[in-house]
Amino acid sequence: MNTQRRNRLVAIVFLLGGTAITAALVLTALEENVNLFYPPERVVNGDAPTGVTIRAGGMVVCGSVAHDASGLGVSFVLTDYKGSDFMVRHVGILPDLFREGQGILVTGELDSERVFRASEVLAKHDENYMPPEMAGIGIEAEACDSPDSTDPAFAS
Amino acid sequence: MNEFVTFLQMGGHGLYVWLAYGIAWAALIVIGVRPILTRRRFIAMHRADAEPERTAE
Amino acid sequence: MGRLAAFAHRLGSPRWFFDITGPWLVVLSVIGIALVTVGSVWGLVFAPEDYQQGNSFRIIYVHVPTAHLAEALYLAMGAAGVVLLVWRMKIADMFIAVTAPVGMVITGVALLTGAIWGKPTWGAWWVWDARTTSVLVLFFLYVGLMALRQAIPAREQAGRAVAVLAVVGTVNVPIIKYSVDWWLTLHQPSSFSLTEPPTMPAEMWLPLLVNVVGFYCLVAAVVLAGLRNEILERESDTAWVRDWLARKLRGSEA
Repeated sequence: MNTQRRNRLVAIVFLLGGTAITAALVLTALEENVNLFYPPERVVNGDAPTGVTIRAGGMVVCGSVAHDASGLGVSFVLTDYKGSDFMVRHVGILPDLFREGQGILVTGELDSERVFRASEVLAKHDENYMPPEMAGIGIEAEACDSPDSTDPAFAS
Repeated sequence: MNEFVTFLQMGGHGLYVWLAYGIAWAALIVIGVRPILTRRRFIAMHRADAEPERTAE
Repeated sequence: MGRLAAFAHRLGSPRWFFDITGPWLVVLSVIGIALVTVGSVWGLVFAPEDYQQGNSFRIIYVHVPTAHLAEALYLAMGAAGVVLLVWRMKIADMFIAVTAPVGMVITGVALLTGAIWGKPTWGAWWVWDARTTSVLVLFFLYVGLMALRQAIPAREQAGRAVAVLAVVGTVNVPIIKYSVDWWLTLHQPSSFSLTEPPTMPAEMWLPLLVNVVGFYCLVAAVVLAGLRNEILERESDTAWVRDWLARKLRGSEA
């Protein structure tokens, strides 16, 4: 390789390396802001602010879902299966995939009692796919019966 | 026939599934047809260039 | 090294490239159309539904191939950018010029099919998490490559400026790939890796594999066809293109 080409190659390597390092520094500095939601641990330990709109996520605790007798209101507990969990109150529609044992993201505010007042509920599914008969349960069955209901995706 | 309608409905997700496949197929057709047209246009353009020369022969 | 250098030298000749790629184009198109047809029908009709998502899971068979290609095409352009900047090979510039619009369309399809999949599963068309946002950045990088080329009138300067952007933009690709591991996102982690078995049974991933290979073949054919057109246009005043045209015109009138 002649010197001119080598010099150009070196320049490109520096350019690319510089860009990569810059991107890494920026993204590291921004880390908290790049995360889409607060995991249960950070809601419980007080990292998540109260009174402002935030996102939080966790797994719906089996048996914790309580629908209001009157209508659309629902409350449930989100957990990381590692000892951190918090209560969510929501009035409105739930995604099709909302079930006990399901990963869930909620948008809303933490009130002074650190109950999460959700205005939007989204389902976070994992990367596992299988046919219904392989899951050993019907589509309508509760995820709490399925063997892999300990998704670790919410650990911080 | 009923079976076919059930298939199209995709258990209530028909709109989403067919829309996604429709967009994907349409995009493949668009990017696939474009170079064919470009090539035809190139050949046609140069045919037009060549015509007067041939009549002069 | 000698053989590689000889190959690179011949690749520098647009005419040689044009001559050998004619048959490849046919083969890639036929295989691509066949595989995408088989994979799509397999995915729509014969693959089982997912135990949680039901039939909306079938969107995976068009979403994953396009999302994968969106990243791969950008990496290929970055490599071509290095080749252009260091070795000044014209064909590398043509490759970037032809691939950018194709990559933009494919990335657009990945974003749209992702949104359509998101609505019935997540409950939202769009969420600004690290994965979706970084893929949107990829889309705008493709748009930027095209706009930059338009903005600079001198072909050679335009080609080099675009190549620099193509090379620098590759930094975004690992960010896309690892976004779901590095940050908390709504998008789920990857179902496939080189070291782990897939997180779905064969009856689900086989049609996906067929469609991924099929989409790759089709897009390769599209890029190749575009490259051949680009070569014809850039070399249109050379003797070999005039000969080729004369043969074509005679052939079409015979």
